[in-house]
Parts: sequence; structure tokens; C-alpha cells
Amino acid sequence: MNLSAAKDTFIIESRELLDEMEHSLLELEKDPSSQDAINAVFRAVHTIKGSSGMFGFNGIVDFTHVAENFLEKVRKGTIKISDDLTAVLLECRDHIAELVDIYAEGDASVPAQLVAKGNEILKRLESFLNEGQTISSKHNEAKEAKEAEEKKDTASVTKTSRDRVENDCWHISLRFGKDVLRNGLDPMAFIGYLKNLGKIINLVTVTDAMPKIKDMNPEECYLGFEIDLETDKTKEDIEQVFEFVENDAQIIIIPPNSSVDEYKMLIENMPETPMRLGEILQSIGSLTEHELEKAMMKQIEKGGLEHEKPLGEILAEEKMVPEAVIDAALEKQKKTAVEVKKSIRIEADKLDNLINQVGELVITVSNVNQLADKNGDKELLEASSIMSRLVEEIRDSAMNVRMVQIGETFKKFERVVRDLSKNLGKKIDLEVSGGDTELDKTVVEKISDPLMHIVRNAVDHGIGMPETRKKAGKPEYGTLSLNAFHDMGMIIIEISDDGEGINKERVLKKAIERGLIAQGQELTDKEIYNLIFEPGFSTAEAVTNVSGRGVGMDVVKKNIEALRGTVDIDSKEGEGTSIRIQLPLTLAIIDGFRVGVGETSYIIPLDMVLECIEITEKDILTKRGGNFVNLRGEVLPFLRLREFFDEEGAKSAHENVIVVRYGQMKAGLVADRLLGEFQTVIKPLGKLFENVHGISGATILGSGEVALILDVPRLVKAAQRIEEESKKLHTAGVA
Amino acid sequence: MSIEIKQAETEDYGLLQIKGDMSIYNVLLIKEQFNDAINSHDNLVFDLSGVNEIDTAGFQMLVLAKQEAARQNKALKIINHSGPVLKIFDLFGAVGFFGDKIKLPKNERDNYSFSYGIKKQKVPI
Repeated sequence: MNLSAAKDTFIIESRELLDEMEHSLLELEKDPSSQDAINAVFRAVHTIKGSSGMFGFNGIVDFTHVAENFLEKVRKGTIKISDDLTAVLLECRDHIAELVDIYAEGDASVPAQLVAKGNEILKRLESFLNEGQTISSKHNEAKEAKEAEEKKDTASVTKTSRDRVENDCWHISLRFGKDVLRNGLDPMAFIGYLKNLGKIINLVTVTDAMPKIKDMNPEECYLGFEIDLETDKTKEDIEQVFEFVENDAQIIIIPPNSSVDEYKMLIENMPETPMRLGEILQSIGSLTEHELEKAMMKQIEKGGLEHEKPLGEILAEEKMVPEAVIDAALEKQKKTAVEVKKSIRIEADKLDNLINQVGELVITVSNVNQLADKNGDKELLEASSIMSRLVEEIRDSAMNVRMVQIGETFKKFERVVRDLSKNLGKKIDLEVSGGDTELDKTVVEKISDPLMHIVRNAVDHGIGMPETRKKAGKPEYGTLSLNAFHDMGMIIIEISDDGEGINKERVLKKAIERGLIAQGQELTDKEIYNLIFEPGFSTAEAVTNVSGRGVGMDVVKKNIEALRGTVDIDSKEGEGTSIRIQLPLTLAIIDGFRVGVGETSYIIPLDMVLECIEITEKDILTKRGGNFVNLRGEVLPFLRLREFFDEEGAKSAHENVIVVRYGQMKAGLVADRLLGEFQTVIKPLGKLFENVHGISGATILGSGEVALILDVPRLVKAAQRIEEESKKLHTAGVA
Repeated sequence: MSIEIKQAETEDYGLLQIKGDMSIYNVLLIKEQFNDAINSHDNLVFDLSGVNEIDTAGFQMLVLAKQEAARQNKALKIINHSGPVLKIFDLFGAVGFFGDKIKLPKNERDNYSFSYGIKKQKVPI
């Protein structure tokens, strides 16, 4: 076993569990009766404790052990969930997270300061206990819990018999599957590990399954073990040791002082003859002679009655033993563990590499296509078109691999909103929808910070204090909603609140004060709201520790634009504010639509293209550069790419209008030629071209030429603006 | 990760001197050598002083040899157990199973528990 890899897995899994725990605790805060949430919290702590034990991270074990015992009581309903309690439990979670971080960095010891903090948190937990109960006397408690568990263990299987064996050790029966050695799992390691749980009192290596030398495959395992282990650990702890071989071995664990029935079941289920196994059990002291006789009698009785038991029944019986003692919550944990195994973790670098290679492949294929076209060979053309299709599929699959759900990011905000609103004395409900919307991993990573900023802002400035809200006739609880969905090949994230809205006057006053706009300048509502994204703008009257230092919204906008996205704000005073972020799904490869203007090729993201129409001079109402055409009775502003980019070269007789949509706006882009679909590998433009308007990137064509990718959102806005200006001019002219 | 098995013959027994790793990587070779040795001698002695690593797969080969020898009514003795061999014998409670004398300097005694599987036992066949 590669320990450092296992440790990494432990860290990652622990963090995931902690996230889940946080989520469940927040849920508990809303619905204290949710048993699912309590179980999830318990499960997280329990699993982290178990795995930290395996790695010897004692700092975590010590803390989680007490927390787990406490949660056990909560789960049983002995302790009632309250807001105060979930607050302390959240602190517990944070503390465990800190401990995990320490071990993740490789520190083996926990600083005394942190230990003290942990004890302080545990002390506060303790204050929730009813009188007479303590958890500080950890040992007793552990013992008690263990005893209770043992009782449960045995009670479930001793329905028929009360005969207890004298042996007060755990008995573990192991028969390893043939493949364990080949799979790199060495029984020696597992058994050696048992020594960390307690003392191996007795152990017999069962070699009865060893075949004759000619039939023996040295790479297969033929060994079994009967073990007596003295330990005060629980059954789950022991089971965890064998977690990795769970599917590769037959494992039966019998608690101390169990009923004879359990051993009977063991004898029945192990491959050796009852006589031989009985002998072994007696030799290691698991059973006394008398007990063995009893078990054997039962065995014979049973054997006589139901001579041939169907295999299914035997299996079911064997299964029944562990199942009966694992309660519902743990059962669930197993299930999720199985589900988790369906996915694998891949290093992000490897994925990036794959995408890069696919990108190069796409470019090469378009080159091949072009050559085939030139060549005119029919068979070659056919082969190359099949190849293009396959490459397209590969591209889609590769991009798909990088898609992740945005829900994880949204989940983070639950805690942020909760903590912030508590801090500020506000009452806020967070509503999340569309968490399963997928987008590129890099986009998710980069959007997280800007989103966080917007959320904090909404909590701090957007939603008012409960009293203020009441006065305004609104419910005490403010609502902040996060919504994500796909639209036209983009992902849209909306953050809206039902708060105070943006005070236009104040924004204007501030903007004038800061010299962002001139006195008397007329602005539409939208333009006023968008002033918020200007650098150095903050209207908060008080600078709080949350937001309002004037750094923020401009950075947010910059970050979003760096992702080729846009951000819009809409607000109604007194009713709320809504911020809408549009982002491309991916930053790497897109389906593009290639058009030609003069000598140059341009790419329009295909998702944004609605239709193409041909226009003649007659359709154009005025001859000025950007204006509008009549599209089936609809006014469609358009923009001539030739003029916008100052293209030279021969004009073609017909002009084509590509109708593109961005958000609710439509516009036409006028080009000379339509060159068809093109798989576009996006190459970022250098720093030098960062501020070129209307261009969002470049790509390489099959011929090796460079084509520029149009920044449709900005072009659409430009078209709209030109149209509005001309309208203004027009109305001014009329007046 | 290599292994070297030398076969030597005396009047009374065949001697196998095993040096290197008795691990899953070498078990195929080990099996071949053991098979040869068992087939050609009635009395066998394995000298394990040179074994510097042994895993469950390697341990299993010793079990195989012991049982196969017993099956064919031959005798197998292990001498000069190296530290790693003793470690696994100790863990698996196999000292009694093999039934050989173990020589151990006093100062190394504490490295092992030898608390179970000490009693000589019949080799199952």
C-alpha cells in the first residue's frame, strides 16, 4: 500500500466529509428535526475518526472521539438540537478542518494552542448534556458506548439463545481470496495493523486450502487466519482495517462474549470441516471444549434437518451478522462509499494536457480536411470527413470530462451567508437552484471569488436589518437566491435579493463626487447601476468589515470579463437587486461559425448564431455604418464588420447578415462571405491585445492562418448603442 | 528484488540456501526450485539466513514446501532463520507449524512476541 497516496485520499475525503457536515449542520439549523442531517453529521465525524485512527493522526482521533460520542446522543434524541448547539457543532467542524489541515501539511503534532481550543469547544459541547452525563471522562464513556454496542451486537443475533462464550476477546476469521496478493494487498500488512488496535492474543494460520504443489499457483493466496484480538475498539474499527480487502476476502468478526450461535455460524460458513475448525477454535481459546460441543451439536442438529442448504441462504445468513449490527446510518455510509467508487480522481494537469492535445488534433484535422478538399480525391474526402466527426466526438467527450457542477461552489455560500448574517444581526434565507448546472472546471474555479464578493455584498448592503424590513412591510427574513442555468451555450448565474435595492440618487451623487461622470450627464437606469462596477466606487455609508472598501465590484467585473463573460445589474429601489453573470461554458474549444470579411476570417461562437440572411442595398434603410434592417417586421440593429474592423479588400456584391443573440438582445453582423462551421480552438490573445474591442481571442485555421474570434456580447452592445445614438440624433433632428 | 537459490547436496540431505527476497515477484522461481528439491531429496534443509525480505506470498511458499514434503513423507527443516523470516513467523503464529528450532541472540529476543503458535503441531495434508 502506498501510504502517502492513501494519506492524500484521506485528506481529500475528510475535506469532502467536512463540507457535507457543514451543509447538514446548516440544514439542521433550518430543520432541527431532520434525522438525515443528524446522521450525515454523525457519519462524517465517525468516518474521519476511523480513518485518522488508521493513519495514527491522534490529534484528530482524540477530538472526534468525544464529538462522536456526543453526536451519538444527539442521534438518539437524548440531546435536543438547538441553534446554539448547531453553532457549537459548526465550530467543531471548523476545528476538525483545522486539524486535518495540520496533518495535510505533514505536521505530526498539534500545537498546544489548538489542543486547548479543541478542549474549550468540547467543554462547551459538554454544557449541552443533561445533568449527570459527562463526556469529559472520555474513557468511561467510550467503554459505556462500547458495551452498549456489544450488547446491541449480540442482542441482535441471540434471539434464540442466551449462551455466551467465556472468551472475552474479539474473534476474527479471515479467508483471503485468491487475488489479494496479485492485487498488491498483503495479508501480513492487515494483520500487522491489528496490533495497533490491541493485542493479538492468539492466531492460527489456516493452511488447509493449500493444494498439492503441482496444482498450486504461487501468485494466489491460499491462507486463512483465525485470530483472537484483545481490544477496546468497536466492531467498525476492526472492520475498517479490512476495508480494502472487504470484497476480496471472507471476513467474520465476532465480538467478545458472543453467543455460541455466532461461532456455530462461523463453523458453518468457513470452508474447513466443522471438526477441523472446531479444533482450531478450541486450540486458540476462542471456545472451550464445552462451548465447542454445544456449537457442534447445533451444527449436527441443523445439518440433519436441512441437509442441503441453498447457497443463497448460507450467504444471507453470513451477511446477516454484520448487517444486524450496523445501524441505518452506517449502512447508508457503505452505500455512498460504493457510489463514490464509481468515479476516479484525476490530476487536473493531466486533464489540461488532454485538452491541449485534443486542441492540436482539431487544428490538424482541419488542415487535413482542407488538403483533402484541394486534392479532390473522393475516398480521401470521405475518410477525412469521418475522421472529423470522430475528432469532434472526442473533443466533446474530453470537454465533458472537465465539466463540473456549480452546486459545490454554491454550497460554500451557505456557510458564508449564515455566518455573515449572524454577524450583522440580519435574518437571511439562501435559496439555491440549478446547482446541477455544469460548466468547465477552470471557469468554476475562477468564478468562485467574484461570486463570493457579490454574495457578501448582497448580505451586507442589499438586505436590511429585520426591523427595517418589517417597517418596509417585508418579511423579517430576507431572501438571497442563487440560480444557475444554461442558455445559448452560455451559463447564466443570477444572484438576487429582495433587499433595499440600489439608491440611484446616491449612486449618481457618488459618481459625480468621484468624477466618474459629469454633473448633468443623463444616464439610463442601467447605466447608473453599472456605475457600481467602476473602479473606486462604494456607496456604503459605513465601511464594515464585510465589504465597502471600494475594492470589489470593479475587480469582480474584471475577473468575469477575463473569463469572456459579462455581468449586468438590475435593481428596483425598495424591492431588490439582481446581478446576472453570463459565462461561456468553456475556455478551450468551441463550435464556431466562420465568416470572411475582405481578406480576413472571423469566428462567431456558433451557439450565438440565430440565422443568416442575405441583404441587398435596398434593405438597408440608411447608408450609415451601423444601423438597422427590417427582419420580418422586427427592428434589427446591425454592425458592419468591414467598417468596425477597418477591413480593406474587394467588397462582394452580396452582403450577409448573421443574426446573433446575446441575452435578450439581437443584432446583425454584416460580413462578405459565409464560410461555414469551424471547430475553434481558442488561443488567448497576448497582453498587448487585451483591450482590443470586439475580439475575444484567436484561433488557428487548417491552413495555418489566424482567425479572430468575435466578442459577440460587446459587438451586440456596440450595435445597440450605435442604433440608440442614431435614434437620438434622429429625434433631435426632428425637434 | 532478486533471489538466489543454491542447491547443494550432502550425503544425508539436500540443502537449499536462499538469498534475497522471498516476495511475490519471485514466487514462480521459488516454486520451481522447491519442487525440484522436494522431488530429488528425502531430507531437505532450507537455510534462510540470507532472506532479507519475505511477504505473505513468500511465506506461503514455505508452507507449501512443508506440506508437500509431509505429503510425500519427506522431512523438511528450516535453519538459520533471518530476522524478516522470524518476524512473519511470529506474526502468523507459524513457529509451531514448521516445528524447527530457532536460534536467537538474547538481545534480539524483545523484537518478537512469540506469544502464540509456538506449540508443535501436526502439519495438515
